[in-house]
Amino acid sequence: MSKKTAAEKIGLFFLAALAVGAAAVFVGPVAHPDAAILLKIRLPRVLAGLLAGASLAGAGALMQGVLRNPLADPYILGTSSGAALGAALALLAGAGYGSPLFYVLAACGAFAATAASYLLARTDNRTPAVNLLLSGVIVSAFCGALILLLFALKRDTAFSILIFMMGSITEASRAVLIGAGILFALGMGISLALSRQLDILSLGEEKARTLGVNTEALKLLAFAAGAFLCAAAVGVAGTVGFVGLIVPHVARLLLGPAHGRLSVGAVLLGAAFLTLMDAAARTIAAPAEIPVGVLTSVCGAPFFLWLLRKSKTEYKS
Amino acid sequence: MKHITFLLALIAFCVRPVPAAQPAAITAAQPPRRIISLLPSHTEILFALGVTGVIAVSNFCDYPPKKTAALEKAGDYYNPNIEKILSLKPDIVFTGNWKSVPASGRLRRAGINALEIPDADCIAGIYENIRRIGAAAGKSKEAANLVKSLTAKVAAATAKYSAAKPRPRVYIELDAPHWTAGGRSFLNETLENAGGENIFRDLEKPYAQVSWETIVQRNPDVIITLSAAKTNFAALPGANRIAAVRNGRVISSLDKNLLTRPSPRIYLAIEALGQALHEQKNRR
Repeated sequence: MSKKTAAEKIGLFFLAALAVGAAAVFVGPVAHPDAAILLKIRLPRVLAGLLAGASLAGAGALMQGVLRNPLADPYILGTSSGAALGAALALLAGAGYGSPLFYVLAACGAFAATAASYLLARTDNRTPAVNLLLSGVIVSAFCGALILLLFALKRDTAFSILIFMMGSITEASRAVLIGAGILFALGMGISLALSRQLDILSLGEEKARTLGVNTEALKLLAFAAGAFLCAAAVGVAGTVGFVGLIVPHVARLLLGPAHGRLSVGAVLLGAAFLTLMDAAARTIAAPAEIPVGVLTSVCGAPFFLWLLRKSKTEYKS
Repeated sequence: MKHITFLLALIAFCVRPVPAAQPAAITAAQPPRRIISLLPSHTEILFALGVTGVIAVSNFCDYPPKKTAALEKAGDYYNPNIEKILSLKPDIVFTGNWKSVPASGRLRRAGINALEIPDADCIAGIYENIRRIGAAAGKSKEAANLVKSLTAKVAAATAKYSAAKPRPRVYIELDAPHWTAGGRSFLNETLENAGGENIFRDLEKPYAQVSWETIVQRNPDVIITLSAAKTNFAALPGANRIAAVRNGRVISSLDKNLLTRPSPRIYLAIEALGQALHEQKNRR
């Protein structure tokens, strides 16, 4: 690994995200787009990709930190199933893609599922990590079952919901992008403000408490921030997998475990990665599209393994 | 049978069915008396042939409405209710043919006489299916007559619309967001007969998801959405560049089953589509 400082690396990631974003505006199924297509359609889609990738990676870094679990991802507390359920209800209510209600309900679903997992896990004013993981699984399974029930009752919307769950970035209107941007800013703001406490938490919950960290308040804030970030992502991109799980690990391998720089690095890498994958998803088989969630896994997994082998160090969370 | 048919149609296109071995001979002298149909298009063909021995249909079969509503439901072709089917003691079960769907194998292993007939993927395929189903149900003569009259009705409907000018360029949304039918789909033939031009005729796959920017760039005159989950086209960025959106020609009132099911009502599908594409415009 090169001897660049963390700040230099973050600078490089920033440039990479910027370059990918700028280049992606010129990559798409329409070979020679005019200015209006570039500005009104391609640009919003690239922005949605950057925003969704950044949000997912930021949420993943946060969840892995607060739950001290390397397998945690943005959806670990049932967030994605909640979002999918919200989206399914919106579609059934006649609010399709493009309608504001669709994005609002998807975000509400993400929040409700996260809150439900948190409340279910709470015992004696504490929320042990194991309880959280279990309640997340249960909420996920419950929302999943409700979606399947909706499939069975209203078969004709099943396919549309399936596309949402596979993850595919849609062209959002300006209002939706601004809404997602605000959610992202709130979520990342809270996440960065919690950096020091999360670093202390990595020593263990008991130790963190003796060092004066209010671990319960920390968890509550972190989950709220995670839900903000997830809500920002799922509205514009559906429930894209993999980005929120692997990108924070890549950032950790490159930048070390300190939460502040790790999550900033993850946000930049996530934005660049998802935007790149989406550019490929809409172009490779043009005019047909490939679900971007499939590409993120197919391309991301081998890269992560390569990086893990190359770093040749014991994995530290 | 909406999206599931569609999904399975996709699969069927990936894995082309080979002709299935015919089950134990049922001769015209002894036509089957207890018939179950697991495919809506087969059900429609059976009733169009005047077959009276249908005792059960699939959960998706909804036409003819009065007759199908009164019948027992026996699951569907990808998940047949084997217990129910056995208890009904059918002489023959008409089912689909998809290599990825093990349903007919399950039927056979249960000792049920299952005849696999793939869903037609073109109008000529409907005629072929009518003949095959007619032969197996002891209605060969009726089948020949039905094919003859249907061919004439399809030709009449096609003659009425296919040469109409101007020929609108059409985007079909089968499922939100942006799943459409390509040139190799059943729907494409219906659309062309109805005097429309599919803006995604060049797709390699019969069905695929396409990009919004491509839709905007190809600028359809008419958008036909058959999706139960409706896309709010006007709210999408750049929508005002699409002639169909500007001129209020986003049509969502057509019956998806009628348009996508390879049934003897195909001429009605051409009529409905042709009327939506052309006559509405003339009134304006």
